[in-house]
Amino acid sequence: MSELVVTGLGITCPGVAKPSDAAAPRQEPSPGWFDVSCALPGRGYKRLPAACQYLLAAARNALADADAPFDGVPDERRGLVVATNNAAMELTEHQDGVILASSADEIGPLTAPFFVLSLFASRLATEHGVRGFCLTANSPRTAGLQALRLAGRALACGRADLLLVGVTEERLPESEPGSSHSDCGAAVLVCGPAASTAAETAYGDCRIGDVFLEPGGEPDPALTRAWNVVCAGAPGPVLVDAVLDDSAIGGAVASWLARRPVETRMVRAGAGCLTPMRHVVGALAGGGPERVVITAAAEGAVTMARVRPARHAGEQTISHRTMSARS
Amino acid sequence: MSDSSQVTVDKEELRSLIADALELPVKEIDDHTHLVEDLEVDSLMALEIVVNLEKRYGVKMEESDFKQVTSLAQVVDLVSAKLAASS
Repeated sequence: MSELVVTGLGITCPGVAKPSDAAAPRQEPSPGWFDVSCALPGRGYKRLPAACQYLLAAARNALADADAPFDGVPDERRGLVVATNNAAMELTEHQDGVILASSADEIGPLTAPFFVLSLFASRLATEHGVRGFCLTANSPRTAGLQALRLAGRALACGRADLLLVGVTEERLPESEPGSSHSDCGAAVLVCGPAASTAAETAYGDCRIGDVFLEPGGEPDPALTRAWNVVCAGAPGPVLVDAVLDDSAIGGAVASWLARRPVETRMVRAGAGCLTPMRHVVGALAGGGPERVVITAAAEGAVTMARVRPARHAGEQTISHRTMSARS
Repeated sequence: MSDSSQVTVDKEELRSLIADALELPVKEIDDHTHLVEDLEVDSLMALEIVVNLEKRYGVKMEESDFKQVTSLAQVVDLVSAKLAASS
Protein backbone atom coordinates (compact mmCIF):
# COMPACT_ATOMS: atom_id res chain seq x y z
CA MET A 1 0.00 0.00 0.00
CA SER A 2 1.36 3.40 -0.95
CA GLU A 3 0.06 6.85 -0.24
CA LEU A 4 0.78 10.27 -1.65
CA VAL A 5 -0.60 13.78 -1.93
CA VAL A 6 -1.29 15.35 -5.32
CA THR A 7 -0.57 19.05 -5.75
CA GLY A 8 -0.69 19.53 -9.52
CA LEU A 9 -2.48 18.00 -12.48
CA GLY A 10 -1.87 18.13 -16.22
CA ILE A 11 -3.63 16.32 -19.03
CA THR A 12 -3.20 16.12 -22.79
CA CYS A 13 -5.88 13.95 -24.35
CA PRO A 14 -8.15 14.26 -27.40
CA GLY A 15 -11.30 16.12 -26.45
CA VAL A 16 -10.15 16.90 -22.90
CA ALA A 17 -9.70 20.61 -22.15
CA LYS A 18 -8.96 20.44 -18.43
CA PRO A 19 -8.20 17.88 -15.71
CA SER A 20 -11.76 17.87 -14.36
CA ASP A 21 -12.87 16.48 -17.76
CA ALA A 22 -10.27 13.73 -17.69
CA ALA A 23 -12.71 10.91 -16.94
CA ALA A 24 -14.88 11.73 -19.94
CA PRO A 25 -15.31 8.88 -22.42
CA ARG A 26 -12.30 8.33 -24.63
CA GLN A 27 -12.44 10.18 -27.96
CA GLU A 28 -10.73 9.18 -31.15
CA PRO A 29 -7.88 11.59 -31.92
CA SER A 30 -8.77 13.78 -34.86
CA PRO A 31 -5.99 14.97 -37.20
CA GLY A 32 -4.20 17.93 -35.70
CA TRP A 33 -5.79 17.54 -32.26
CA PHE A 34 -2.39 18.21 -30.67
CA ASP A 35 -0.48 21.32 -31.78
CA VAL A 36 3.09 20.79 -30.67
CA SER A 37 4.23 24.33 -31.50
CA CYS A 38 1.49 25.70 -29.25
CA ALA A 39 1.83 23.16 -26.44
CA LEU A 40 5.63 23.10 -26.49
CA PRO A 41 6.96 26.33 -27.96
CA GLY A 42 10.67 26.46 -28.69
CA ARG A 43 13.20 24.18 -30.33
CA GLY A 44 13.75 20.49 -29.83
CA TYR A 45 10.19 19.20 -29.64
CA LYS A 46 8.92 18.88 -33.20
CA ARG A 47 10.66 15.61 -34.01
CA LEU A 48 10.01 13.86 -30.73
CA PRO A 49 7.61 10.89 -30.82
CA ALA A 50 4.04 12.03 -30.26
CA ALA A 51 3.76 10.24 -26.92
CA CYS A 52 6.84 12.10 -25.70
CA GLN A 53 5.32 15.40 -26.78
CA TYR A 54 2.07 14.56 -24.95
CA LEU A 55 4.03 13.69 -21.81
CA LEU A 56 6.13 16.86 -21.86
CA ALA A 57 3.06 19.02 -22.46
CA ALA A 58 1.08 17.40 -19.65
CA ALA A 59 4.05 17.71 -17.29
CA ARG A 60 4.47 21.36 -18.16
CA ASN A 61 0.80 21.95 -17.35
CA ALA A 62 0.97 19.96 -14.12
CA LEU A 63 4.01 21.87 -12.89
CA ALA A 64 2.40 25.19 -13.77
CA ASP A 65 -0.76 24.05 -12.00
CA ALA A 66 1.27 23.30 -8.87
CA ASP A 67 2.95 26.72 -9.14
CA ALA A 68 6.50 25.62 -9.97
CA PRO A 69 6.90 23.10 -7.15
CA PHE A 70 10.41 22.03 -8.25
CA ASP A 71 11.76 25.48 -7.43
CA GLY A 72 13.84 25.03 -4.32
CA VAL A 73 13.96 21.24 -4.65
CA PRO A 74 17.51 20.09 -5.43
CA ASP A 75 17.84 18.20 -8.72
CA GLU A 76 18.85 15.01 -6.95
CA ARG A 77 15.73 15.17 -4.74
CA ARG A 78 13.39 15.42 -7.73
CA GLY A 79 11.97 12.17 -9.00
CA LEU A 80 9.62 10.79 -11.59
CA VAL A 81 7.83 7.63 -12.59
CA VAL A 82 6.47 7.25 -16.10
CA ALA A 83 4.11 4.50 -17.19
CA THR A 84 3.35 3.42 -20.72
CA ASN A 85 2.37 0.38 -22.71
CA ASN A 86 2.26 1.64 -26.29
CA ALA A 87 4.18 4.91 -26.45
CA ALA A 88 6.59 3.54 -29.04
CA MET A 89 4.38 1.18 -31.04
CA GLU A 90 3.62 3.65 -33.83
CA LEU A 91 7.27 4.71 -33.95
CA THR A 92 8.68 1.19 -34.11
CA GLU A 93 6.23 0.22 -36.83
CA HIS A 94 7.40 3.24 -38.81
CA GLN A 95 11.05 2.32 -38.19
CA ASP A 96 10.36 -1.26 -39.30
CA GLY A 97 8.85 0.12 -42.50
CA VAL A 98 11.89 2.32 -43.17
CA ILE A 99 14.27 -0.60 -42.61
CA LEU A 100 12.28 -2.89 -44.88
CA ALA A 101 11.91 -0.27 -47.59
CA SER A 102 15.47 1.03 -47.55
CA SER A 103 17.86 0.71 -44.60
CA ALA A 104 18.33 1.57 -40.95
CA ASP A 105 20.56 4.44 -42.05
CA GLU A 106 17.47 6.38 -43.04
CA ILE A 107 15.84 6.33 -39.63
CA GLY A 108 15.78 9.83 -38.19
CA PRO A 109 18.56 10.14 -35.60
CA LEU A 110 16.45 12.26 -33.26
CA THR A 111 13.73 9.63 -32.92
CA ALA A 112 15.82 6.47 -33.30
CA PRO A 113 16.57 6.00 -29.56
CA PHE A 114 12.91 6.09 -28.58
CA PHE A 115 12.34 2.43 -29.35
CA VAL A 116 13.72 2.10 -25.81
CA LEU A 117 10.72 2.89 -23.63
CA SER A 118 12.75 4.36 -20.78
CA LEU A 119 13.73 7.23 -23.09
CA PHE A 120 10.34 8.86 -22.54
CA ALA A 121 11.03 9.22 -18.83
CA SER A 122 14.62 10.24 -19.50
CA ARG A 123 13.52 13.03 -21.81
CA LEU A 124 11.10 14.29 -19.16
CA ALA A 125 13.85 14.12 -16.56
CA THR A 126 16.15 16.17 -18.76
CA GLU A 127 13.44 18.73 -19.34
CA HIS A 128 12.89 19.41 -15.65
CA GLY A 129 16.29 18.75 -14.13
CA VAL A 130 15.30 15.51 -12.44
CA ARG A 131 18.48 13.74 -11.39
CA GLY A 132 17.13 11.51 -8.64
CA PHE A 133 14.64 8.64 -8.62
CA CYS A 134 13.59 7.84 -12.21
CA LEU A 135 11.62 4.78 -13.20
CA THR A 136 9.56 3.48 -16.12
CA ALA A 137 6.64 1.05 -15.59
CA ASN A 138 5.28 -1.03 -18.45
CA SER A 139 2.93 -3.63 -16.95
CA PRO A 140 -0.07 -4.14 -19.22
CA ARG A 141 -3.00 -1.91 -18.25
CA THR A 142 -2.00 -1.53 -14.58
CA ALA A 143 1.26 0.40 -15.13
CA GLY A 144 -0.39 3.79 -14.64
CA LEU A 145 -1.78 3.08 -11.20
CA GLN A 146 1.34 1.11 -10.34
CA ALA A 147 3.37 4.21 -11.14
CA LEU A 148 1.48 5.97 -8.37
CA ARG A 149 2.27 3.11 -6.06
CA LEU A 150 5.94 3.17 -6.96
CA ALA A 151 6.02 6.93 -6.42
CA GLY A 152 4.39 6.54 -3.02
CA ARG A 153 7.01 3.98 -2.02
CA ALA A 154 9.84 6.21 -3.20
CA LEU A 155 8.48 9.11 -1.17
CA ALA A 156 7.93 6.93 1.90
CA CYS A 157 11.49 5.63 1.64
CA GLY A 158 12.86 9.15 1.40
CA ARG A 159 14.27 8.67 -2.09
CA ALA A 160 12.76 11.94 -3.33
CA ASP A 161 11.05 15.04 -2.00
CA LEU A 162 8.72 15.56 -4.94
CA LEU A 163 7.81 13.39 -7.89
CA LEU A 164 6.12 13.62 -11.23
CA VAL A 165 3.97 10.61 -12.01
CA GLY A 166 3.05 10.41 -15.67
CA VAL A 167 1.30 8.11 -18.08
CA THR A 168 1.66 8.51 -21.81
CA GLU A 169 0.25 6.49 -24.67
CA GLU A 170 0.11 6.72 -28.43
CA ARG A 171 -2.74 5.21 -30.36
CA LEU A 172 -1.90 1.73 -31.60
CA PRO A 173 -1.04 1.44 -35.30
CA GLU A 174 -4.03 0.45 -37.42
CA SER A 175 -2.41 -2.91 -38.13
CA GLU A 176 -2.60 -3.83 -34.44
CA PRO A 177 -5.66 -5.47 -32.84
CA GLY A 178 -7.52 -2.99 -30.65
CA SER A 179 -6.25 0.06 -32.51
CA SER A 180 -9.66 1.67 -32.72
CA HIS A 181 -10.06 1.50 -28.97
CA SER A 182 -6.60 2.37 -27.73
CA ASP A 183 -5.45 5.04 -25.31
CA CYS A 184 -3.94 8.24 -26.65
CA GLY A 185 -2.54 11.18 -24.69
CA ALA A 186 -0.87 11.78 -21.36
CA ALA A 187 -1.62 12.65 -17.77
CA VAL A 188 0.86 13.90 -15.18
CA LEU A 189 0.45 14.35 -11.44
CA VAL A 190 2.77 16.29 -9.13
CA CYS A 191 3.06 14.16 -6.02
CA GLY A 192 4.49 14.70 -2.57
CA PRO A 193 4.56 12.64 0.62
CA ALA A 194 1.38 12.36 2.65
CA ALA A 195 2.95 14.30 5.52
CA SER A 196 4.18 17.16 3.36
CA THR A 197 3.21 20.76 4.07
CA ALA A 198 1.93 21.03 0.51
CA ALA A 199 -1.05 18.92 1.60
CA GLU A 200 -2.97 22.03 2.60
CA THR A 201 -3.21 23.17 -1.00
CA ALA A 202 -3.47 19.72 -2.54
CA TYR A 203 -6.12 18.27 -4.78
CA GLY A 204 -6.31 15.33 -2.46
CA ASP A 205 -4.54 12.11 -1.79
CA CYS A 206 -4.30 8.65 -3.25
CA ARG A 207 -3.75 5.34 -1.61
CA ILE A 208 -2.73 2.53 -3.94
CA GLY A 209 -2.72 -1.22 -3.53
CA ASP A 210 -2.45 -4.18 -5.82
CA VAL A 211 -2.86 -7.90 -5.91
CA PHE A 212 -2.00 -10.67 -8.33
CA LEU A 213 -4.72 -13.17 -9.11
CA GLU A 214 -3.14 -16.50 -9.89
CA PRO A 215 -4.63 -18.50 -12.74
CA GLY A 216 -7.14 -20.99 -11.40
CA GLY A 217 -7.11 -19.44 -7.95
CA GLU A 218 -10.05 -18.07 -6.00
CA PRO A 219 -10.07 -14.32 -6.71
CA ASP A 220 -12.53 -13.03 -4.11
CA PRO A 221 -10.45 -13.42 -0.91
CA ALA A 222 -7.41 -11.80 -2.49
CA LEU A 223 -9.44 -8.92 -3.90
CA THR A 224 -11.20 -8.37 -0.59
CA ARG A 225 -7.91 -8.32 1.30
CA ALA A 226 -6.49 -5.72 -1.08
CA TRP A 227 -9.68 -3.66 -0.87
CA ASN A 228 -9.63 -3.72 2.93
CA VAL A 229 -6.08 -2.42 3.02
CA VAL A 230 -6.64 0.33 0.46
CA CYS A 231 -10.01 1.37 1.84
CA ALA A 232 -9.23 1.03 5.54
CA GLY A 233 -11.04 3.60 7.67
CA ALA A 234 -14.65 4.74 7.81
CA PRO A 235 -16.79 5.52 5.99
CA GLY A 236 -14.97 4.05 3.02
CA PRO A 237 -15.64 4.76 -0.61
CA VAL A 238 -18.72 3.38 -2.23
CA LEU A 239 -18.13 4.80 -5.71
CA VAL A 240 -15.96 2.73 -8.01
CA ASP A 241 -14.66 3.37 -11.53
CA ALA A 242 -13.79 -0.07 -12.89
CA VAL A 243 -11.65 0.00 -16.02
CA LEU A 244 -11.88 -3.60 -17.14
CA ASP A 245 -11.64 -5.70 -20.27
CA ASP A 246 -13.49 -8.87 -21.13
CA SER A 247 -10.71 -11.21 -20.00
CA ALA A 248 -11.27 -13.83 -17.31
CA ILE A 249 -9.52 -11.60 -14.79
CA GLY A 250 -11.62 -8.59 -15.80
CA GLY A 251 -14.74 -10.72 -15.43
CA ALA A 252 -13.66 -11.97 -12.01
CA VAL A 253 -13.15 -8.41 -10.77
CA ALA A 254 -16.51 -7.30 -12.21
CA SER A 255 -18.27 -10.21 -10.51
CA TRP A 256 -16.60 -9.46 -7.21
CA LEU A 257 -17.61 -5.80 -7.43
CA ALA A 258 -21.19 -6.78 -8.22
CA ARG A 259 -21.38 -8.55 -4.87
CA ARG A 260 -20.08 -5.59 -2.90
CA PRO A 261 -22.10 -2.64 -1.55
CA VAL A 262 -20.61 -0.21 -4.05
CA GLU A 263 -21.86 1.86 -6.94
CA THR A 264 -19.75 0.88 -9.90
CA ARG A 265 -19.22 2.78 -13.12
CA MET A 266 -17.93 0.25 -15.63
CA VAL A 267 -15.48 1.59 -18.20
CA ARG A 268 -14.38 -0.51 -21.14
CA ALA A 269 -10.61 -0.83 -21.03
CA GLY A 270 -8.76 -0.24 -24.26
CA ALA A 271 -5.14 -0.91 -25.08
CA GLY A 272 -2.86 1.09 -22.82
CA CYS A 273 -2.60 2.16 -19.21
CA LEU A 274 -3.86 5.74 -19.49
CA THR A 275 -7.60 5.35 -18.92
CA PRO A 276 -7.36 4.37 -15.23
CA MET A 277 -5.12 7.36 -14.57
CA ARG A 278 -7.57 9.62 -16.40
CA HIS A 279 -10.17 8.57 -13.86
CA VAL A 280 -7.82 9.34 -10.98
CA VAL A 281 -7.13 12.79 -12.43
CA GLY A 282 -10.82 13.42 -13.06
CA ALA A 283 -11.75 12.43 -9.52
CA LEU A 284 -9.08 14.65 -7.95
CA ALA A 285 -9.79 17.67 -10.13
CA GLY A 286 -13.54 17.35 -10.00
CA GLY A 287 -13.81 17.10 -6.25
CA GLY A 288 -16.77 15.11 -5.04
CA PRO A 289 -16.83 12.06 -2.86
CA GLU A 290 -14.12 9.48 -2.42
CA ARG A 291 -13.76 7.09 -5.27
CA VAL A 292 -11.85 3.91 -6.00
CA VAL A 293 -10.38 3.42 -9.47
CA ILE A 294 -9.69 -0.23 -10.16
CA THR A 295 -8.16 -1.86 -13.19
CA ALA A 296 -6.98 -5.32 -14.09
CA ALA A 297 -4.83 -6.98 -16.71
CA ALA A 298 -5.65 -10.26 -18.38
CA GLU A 299 -2.32 -11.57 -17.07
CA GLY A 300 -3.60 -11.35 -13.46
CA ALA A 301 -2.49 -8.03 -12.01
CA VAL A 302 -5.17 -5.94 -10.32
CA THR A 303 -4.48 -2.44 -9.02
CA MET A 304 -6.80 -0.16 -7.09
CA ALA A 305 -6.42 3.49 -6.18
CA ARG A 306 -8.49 5.11 -3.47
CA VAL A 307 -8.82 8.76 -4.43
CA ARG A 308 -9.85 11.28 -1.81
CA PRO A 309 -10.42 14.74 -3.24
CA ALA A 310 -9.62 17.43 -0.70
CA ARG A 311 -12.36 19.71 -1.94
CA HIS A 312 -15.06 17.34 -0.82
CA ALA A 313 -13.47 15.38 1.98
CA GLY A 314 -12.52 18.49 3.96
CA GLU A 315 -11.84 17.74 7.60
CA GLN A 316 -11.91 14.05 7.07
CA THR A 317 -9.01 14.20 4.64
CA ILE A 318 -7.02 16.51 6.87
CA SER A 319 -7.49 14.27 9.89
CA HIS A 320 -6.42 11.33 7.79
CA ARG A 321 -3.28 13.17 6.74
CA THR A 322 -2.51 13.88 10.37
CA MET A 323 -2.96 10.21 11.12
CA SER A 324 -0.66 9.27 8.25
CA ALA A 325 1.99 11.68 9.43
CA ARG A 326 1.99 10.05 12.84
CA SER A 327 2.20 6.49 11.58
CA MET B 1 17.23 8.17 -52.57
CA SER B 2 17.96 10.78 -55.24
CA ASP B 3 20.09 10.13 -58.31
CA SER B 4 23.16 12.21 -57.52
CA SER B 5 24.21 12.53 -61.14
CA GLN B 6 21.15 14.66 -61.89
CA VAL B 7 21.08 16.79 -58.74
CA THR B 8 22.55 20.25 -58.32
CA VAL B 9 22.80 22.19 -55.11
CA ASP B 10 20.19 24.88 -54.60
CA LYS B 11 21.41 26.99 -51.71
CA GLU B 12 17.92 28.11 -50.74
CA GLU B 13 16.67 24.56 -50.66
CA LEU B 14 19.61 23.62 -48.50
CA ARG B 15 18.92 26.57 -46.22
CA SER B 16 15.35 25.36 -45.86
CA LEU B 17 16.49 21.78 -45.18
CA ILE B 18 18.83 22.91 -42.41
CA ALA B 19 16.24 25.27 -40.91
CA ASP B 20 13.73 22.44 -40.82
CA ALA B 21 16.19 20.07 -39.17
CA LEU B 22 17.07 22.67 -36.55
CA GLU B 23 13.46 23.78 -36.02
CA LEU B 24 14.37 27.38 -36.83
CA PRO B 25 12.93 29.99 -39.20
CA VAL B 26 14.73 30.03 -42.55
CA LYS B 27 15.71 33.67 -42.05
CA GLU B 28 17.93 32.69 -39.11
CA ILE B 29 20.18 30.60 -41.33
CA ASP B 30 22.52 33.13 -42.93
CA ASP B 31 25.23 31.91 -45.26
CA HIS B 32 27.92 32.34 -42.65
CA THR B 33 26.01 31.85 -39.42
CA HIS B 34 28.06 29.45 -37.27
CA LEU B 35 26.10 26.24 -36.86
CA VAL B 36 27.50 25.40 -33.44
CA GLU B 37 28.28 28.75 -31.87
CA ASP B 38 25.28 30.69 -33.17
CA LEU B 39 22.65 28.00 -33.68
CA GLU B 40 23.67 25.59 -30.91
CA VAL B 41 23.81 22.57 -33.18
CA ASP B 42 24.76 19.48 -31.19
CA SER B 43 25.93 16.10 -32.46
CA LEU B 44 22.41 14.70 -32.76
CA MET B 45 21.17 17.69 -34.74
CA ALA B 46 24.24 17.45 -36.98
CA LEU B 47 23.44 13.79 -37.59
CA GLU B 48 19.88 14.73 -38.49
CA ILE B 49 21.19 17.20 -41.07
CA VAL B 50 23.60 14.62 -42.48
CA VAL B 51 20.86 12.00 -42.87
CA ASN B 52 18.64 14.53 -44.64
CA LEU B 53 21.48 15.59 -46.95
CA GLU B 54 22.28 12.01 -47.83
CA LYS B 55 18.65 11.29 -48.52
CA ARG B 56 18.09 14.42 -50.61
CA TYR B 57 21.30 14.41 -52.65
CA GLY B 58 22.16 10.74 -52.77
CA VAL B 59 25.66 11.26 -51.42
CA LYS B 60 27.50 9.54 -48.60
CA MET B 61 28.89 11.72 -45.84
CA GLU B 62 31.75 10.62 -43.64
CA GLU B 63 31.81 11.69 -40.01
CA SER B 64 35.00 13.65 -40.68
CA ASP B 65 33.30 15.59 -43.51
CA PHE B 66 30.76 17.29 -41.35
CA LYS B 67 33.16 18.03 -38.52
CA GLN B 68 34.86 20.57 -40.78
CA VAL B 69 31.63 22.29 -41.77
CA THR B 70 30.52 25.27 -39.70
CA SER B 71 28.11 27.23 -41.91
CA LEU B 72 25.54 26.94 -44.68
CA ALA B 73 28.08 28.18 -47.21
CA GLN B 74 30.41 25.36 -46.26
CA VAL B 75 27.58 22.82 -46.41
CA VAL B 76 26.88 23.97 -49.99
CA ASP B 77 30.56 23.52 -50.86
CA LEU B 78 30.68 20.10 -49.22
CA VAL B 79 27.58 18.78 -50.98
CA SER B 80 28.72 20.24 -54.31
CA ALA B 81 32.10 18.53 -53.93
CA LYS B 82 30.43 15.23 -53.08
CA LEU B 83 28.17 15.47 -56.10
CA ALA B 84 31.06 16.35 -58.39
CA ALA B 85 33.07 13.40 -57.08
CA SER B 86 30.24 10.98 -57.68
CA SER B 87 29.34 12.16 -61.19
